[in-house]
Amino acid sequence: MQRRISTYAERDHVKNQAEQLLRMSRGLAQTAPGRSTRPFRKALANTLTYVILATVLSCVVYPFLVLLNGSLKSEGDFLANPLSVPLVPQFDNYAYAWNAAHIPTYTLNSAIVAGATVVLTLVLAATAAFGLSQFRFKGSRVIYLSFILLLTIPVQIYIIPLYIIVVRLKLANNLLGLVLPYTAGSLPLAVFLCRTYFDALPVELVDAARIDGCNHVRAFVHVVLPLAKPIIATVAIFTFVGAWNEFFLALVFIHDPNLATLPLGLQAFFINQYQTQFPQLFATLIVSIAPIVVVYLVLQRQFMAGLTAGAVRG
Amino acid sequence: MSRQSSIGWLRADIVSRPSLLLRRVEPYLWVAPALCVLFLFTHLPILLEAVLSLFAADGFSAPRFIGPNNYLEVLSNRDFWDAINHNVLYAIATVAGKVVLSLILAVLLNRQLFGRNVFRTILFLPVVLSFVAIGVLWTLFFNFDYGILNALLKAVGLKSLRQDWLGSADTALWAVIFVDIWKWTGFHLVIYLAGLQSIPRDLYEAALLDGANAFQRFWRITVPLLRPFTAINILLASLGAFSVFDLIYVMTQGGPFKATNVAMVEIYLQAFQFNRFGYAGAMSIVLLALVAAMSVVILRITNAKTN
Repeated sequence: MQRRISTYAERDHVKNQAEQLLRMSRGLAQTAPGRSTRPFRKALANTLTYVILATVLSCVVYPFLVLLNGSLKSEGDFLANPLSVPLVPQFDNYAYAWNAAHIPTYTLNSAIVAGATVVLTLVLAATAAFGLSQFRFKGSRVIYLSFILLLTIPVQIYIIPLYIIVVRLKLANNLLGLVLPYTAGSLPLAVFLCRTYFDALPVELVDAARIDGCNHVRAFVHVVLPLAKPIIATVAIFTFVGAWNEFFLALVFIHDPNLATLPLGLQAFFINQYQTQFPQLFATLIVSIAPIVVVYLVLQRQFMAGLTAGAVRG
Repeated sequence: MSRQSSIGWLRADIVSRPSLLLRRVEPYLWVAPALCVLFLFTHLPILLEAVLSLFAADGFSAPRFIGPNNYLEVLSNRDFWDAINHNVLYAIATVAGKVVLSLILAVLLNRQLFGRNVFRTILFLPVVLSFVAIGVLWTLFFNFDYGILNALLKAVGLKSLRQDWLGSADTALWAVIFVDIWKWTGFHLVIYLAGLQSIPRDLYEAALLDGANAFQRFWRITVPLLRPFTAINILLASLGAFSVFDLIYVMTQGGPFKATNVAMVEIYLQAFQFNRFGYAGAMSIVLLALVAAMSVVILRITNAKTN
């Protein structure tokens, strides 16, 4: 319906009304849904976020606190109430873990195995990746593909023939019998990561070194390796953690308690222990995880990058 | 035979001039050490396993060829398929738990937040510990009489909910599944955080201007763009679920009443307790086939969705 505006007065009146309406609507927009509820909703969202994160966080942290707390209690004190805080901390359990549980021996064995595996993996993976990256040769594709295919096959699946091979090579009950299969286990990913990294380096680097009279070996040692430090760190970390924590092959190959690695020794100790010796077991557990936890806390960024490298880049 | 820049190679050739034979052989010399170790300890055992599975072998006496008999026995073995069923359940439950939990946590952590790095560092801690350490830890916590779980239930007045978590066939597998999720969520979280970093910020700003709410932005932007990362998370978690051994061996040894018996525990028992190498080899080959088929299916589905 159209209404004719005849007089000036009438026109002014309509104009004023319209301006008033406009002002009101602006005011509404500023106050109503926009400004007054946003901070509230944001605060609510933040609070909710923190509540969820704190819940999850305590699910991870609390077990370790219980572990620490329990390891400082006497056996009777623990059995009476597992949750109570010890009035007088008992450090006997740690002495027990150190002596009776042979944790130092197991730790040393694990350090030897993991250290040797890291060195061997780095040497073999870096040289193979350099060869595959630098040369095109007959069979290079097939060789590389046979490496890559192994990425998705877990060691567990070929354990039986692997056991037969290790026994035939007289490597059963021998730490070298762990180092070689561990190395083989980490090589596919190590070669893949190193090769990808080397391929991304400028070709001119090696060519320039060769013009200067370097052979490939010298170019590799003096030009490529110094540039490859990040990928070496990545490979070293996932190889080390894998070898340090490996249990299955150790269980099958090692039967001499003096040669047990940390996981194997811990499992054997745990099974042979009396069911009520909780504080001693807690202390043993703490002593056995302490080295890797400390190393992790110092190198946390490198650990996260190293352990997820295969997934993120693969 | 050098790569790409042939001019550089020609000049280098004039300078160092290695013999023709050496030049032919050199690439193989670089690859040979790694290939030898890999062949002896991975390729060869995989090939041998296929052969072994056709024999009756105990590791001591001479193996006897029996054709497909091991496979026939595997196919009709109730225990093995029960174990595979446990693996399937384990895979579905752990994959769902790990992926959903880590995705939610990653989205919550992917912004300026007080204590963000501390959260991430602590959530990743169980990843660097061994399955054995974590298995022992939780076995002690699940203990009926002195475990903290039952102690906590008692403390909050839910005494009736106390369980023999690992000793009862109804709860044992779920308890182990819980521990597996507990250990690996931090790992998948870090992968998702890397994925979230790769999503351009302007997409969210554009969506915000178009009036999309937080939920819509999550479903329409975050989830689709994270698909490659979801794919790798699902693949890694499923591979882990089908080769799970350590955690089960430490916590329940496959019991009670085979309620947590999984394929690898069954294979381990047949091979190293009963010395039935050929039979266990056949089981391994069947498991390998299942794992390979599963990987292909997962990659197909996730790739199809990405395209």
